[in-house]
Amino acid sequence: MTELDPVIHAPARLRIMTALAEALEDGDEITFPALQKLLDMTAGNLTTHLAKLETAGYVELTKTFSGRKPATFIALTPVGRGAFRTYRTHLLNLLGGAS
Amino acid sequence: MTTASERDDLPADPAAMADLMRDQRRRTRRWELRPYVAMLVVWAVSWAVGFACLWSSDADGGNPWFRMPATAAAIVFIVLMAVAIVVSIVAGIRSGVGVRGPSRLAGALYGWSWTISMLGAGALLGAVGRAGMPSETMNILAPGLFVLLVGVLYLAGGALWRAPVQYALGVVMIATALAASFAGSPTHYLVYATVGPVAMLVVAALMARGVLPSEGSSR
Repeated sequence: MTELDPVIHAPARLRIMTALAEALEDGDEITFPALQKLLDMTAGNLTTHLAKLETAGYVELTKTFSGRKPATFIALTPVGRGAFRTYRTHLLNLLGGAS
Repeated sequence: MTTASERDDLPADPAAMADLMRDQRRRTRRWELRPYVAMLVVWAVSWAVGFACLWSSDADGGNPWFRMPATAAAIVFIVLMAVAIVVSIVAGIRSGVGVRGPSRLAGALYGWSWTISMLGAGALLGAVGRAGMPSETMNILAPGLFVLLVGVLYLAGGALWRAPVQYALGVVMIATALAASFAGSPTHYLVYATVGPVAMLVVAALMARGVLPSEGSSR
């Protein structure tokens, strides 16, 4: 049995990837506060997990300014979307095979 | 791969992870649909009260229990529709907050299609009125045309966002417009006052629960 993708196979990161895959179309970006609200996570926790996903190339963070305030936009990369689909299929197959 | 800071975030078993994934999808869906839930409830109330007033008008109403002055009925109807339109515009603006990119464009174009279609319908009714359409016929055509367009726009929205519930609401709206128009005046007001709001409230309740487009499948 091959391992489930360890980058995604952690509750917090699975929730982040699920929310991004569901809320964003290709090319869309979501603001940090909106994503935080959507996930109900602390800013620190979200930052930590986003950094891990970014290192894996699954998400892309863009820092910009909206007016004078700094704003961070998060996008799901094509690689990230693909990895999430693979993970999802893998997980569901695993469950289908088990029951 | 596991570090000390990750220990509190170790994966649960696959079934728990699948549940987590489904819950988060629902949560996301609810977050996306929340502005529309409030909007549908406002529209449901506006239709129920507004069309009930028209049905109770002392000029051409059909309410056997009580009647109200035709002017008052018309004013209540217009005010309620105006309030619902304002709420819809606010909901439309709020719906995309926090997201930028191609889907914002889709949302904006879809929002404009409501404005353009409704203004177009209004202008068309103005034209047939000017051409001498009798008011009895106009009373059937005006709400029927608007409700038919509402239905068509829900069909388009349902297709655009892969939302079968919204699509179904479009089908019900078109059926309501036809049923009401064939029922004729003044019963058509009663049909709009009852069938429309019930359908909207059912859809609002489903949206509030965060119904998924393809529950159980692996889209």
